Amino acid sequence: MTDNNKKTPLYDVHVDLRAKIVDYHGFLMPLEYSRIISEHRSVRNRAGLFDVSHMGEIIIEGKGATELVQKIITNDISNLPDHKAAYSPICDEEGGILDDIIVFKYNLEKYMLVVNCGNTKKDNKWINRFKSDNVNINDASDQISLLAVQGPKSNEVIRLALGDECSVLSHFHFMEVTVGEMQLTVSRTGYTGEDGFEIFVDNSHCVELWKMLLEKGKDMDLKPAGLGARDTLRLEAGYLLYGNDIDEYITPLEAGIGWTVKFEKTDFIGKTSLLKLKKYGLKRMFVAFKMRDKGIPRTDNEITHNNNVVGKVTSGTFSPSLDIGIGFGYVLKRFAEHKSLVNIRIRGTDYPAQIVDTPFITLNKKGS
Amino acid sequence: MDFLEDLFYTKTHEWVKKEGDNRVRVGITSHAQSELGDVVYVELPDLDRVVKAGTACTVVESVKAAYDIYAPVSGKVIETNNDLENNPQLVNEDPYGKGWFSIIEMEDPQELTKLLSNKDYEELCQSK
Repeated sequence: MTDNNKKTPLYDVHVDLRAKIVDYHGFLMPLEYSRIISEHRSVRNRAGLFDVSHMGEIIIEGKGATELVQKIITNDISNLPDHKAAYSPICDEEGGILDDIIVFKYNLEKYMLVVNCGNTKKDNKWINRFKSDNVNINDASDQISLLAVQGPKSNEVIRLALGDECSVLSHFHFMEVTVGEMQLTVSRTGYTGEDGFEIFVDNSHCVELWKMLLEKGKDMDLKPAGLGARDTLRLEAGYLLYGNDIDEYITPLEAGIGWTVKFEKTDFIGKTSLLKLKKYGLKRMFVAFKMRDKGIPRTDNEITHNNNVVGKVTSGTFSPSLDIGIGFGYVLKRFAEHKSLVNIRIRGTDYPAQIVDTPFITLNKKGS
Repeated sequence: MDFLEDLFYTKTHEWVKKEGDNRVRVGITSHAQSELGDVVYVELPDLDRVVKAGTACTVVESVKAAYDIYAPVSGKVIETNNDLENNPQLVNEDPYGKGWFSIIEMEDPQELTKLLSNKDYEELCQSK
């Protein structure tokens, strides 16, 4: 850990809470405050509070904002109402995934793109390549912090902390609200598979908001949760992680998020390549799998079938909810289609795993 | 952090307890289990396996990752802790007691003199 590492405004708070700190794409972030499994269970059963201020925020404003966003994302936001968010990949000309982002539409002339922290600079540079004079692009990542309240009790926490209106937001909708001196953007979104909210706040009020949420959430047993639990929660929910499960060498069609590619949309970057790929067929496909018995899959483990290597694991963990190893990976297409029984090669031994649908658990999305 | 006086330690955070002239019980320290986080699986060596000091002989998996645990002394594995199969969390809960890994019959009891004392190990942990 060097001085080159970035810190969120909550770094000292995490250290005071005796969090185990790790370097995540250049940010010093809390891995766990207590233990990953107990934090995971807090979120599944009650409510957890995450500092995810490492995420990037790119604001796109101006008359040409909608046109620019439509060009760079594969999803179609032409029918997206104001104050609603949408998930989409950003692809390069070859259809490779440059990032997967959440687009927040304030109105036709203002969007906020929430991007992965390791990709912020790359995304900003990429988007600027397609910008016209009637658009302003502002990377606000260094000014904006992001907190997430996730879990079945999260709406109760939000109601007490931010008011009734925020707590009844519909799934993927957002609103702007002023609480005391804090100007917030609150959305009903998350990365855990539970009901939950994300709150964008200026860095100057981030610590104040964190403390206020913990105070108001006391009766709901709101507990800080770190990146360790965030990873096990997102895996159980079936959510991809950029850098592990998707990258520039994988297309959305292979990654199992073909629903985010809207070919009927006039034009977007990557369309020609993705159409070609769709026409000629995929070679490999994303799968989720669950161990039959023993073994915890890890990134880069081989996936085998009758002793032949047919794929590779991109993410794997021990699932605290299922009490068994689970993971994601890519396999040759026919093994994905037949939901074959495969093996995961862990330290030279093949352990049986079943290809399954995601999510691994029943998701609890209120406000849908 | 707990450090027990009658134990020997390694720089790689294993503990060794002498249980007879050439038998030792081994496990990982409280410091090690705390660094690993929730232990969810332990892959113990096969019985009768001959291990060499400093080589990987056990794998401990936490939620986050898998870690090699090294044999603190050379010898033959004569017993392993079967309770860890269904209760790997014993490594977190009781690292010096119910969370032990294996019993090794030492090839050369003199190897114990190369290990760290309680005091040396405590200093090692605090210097980090």
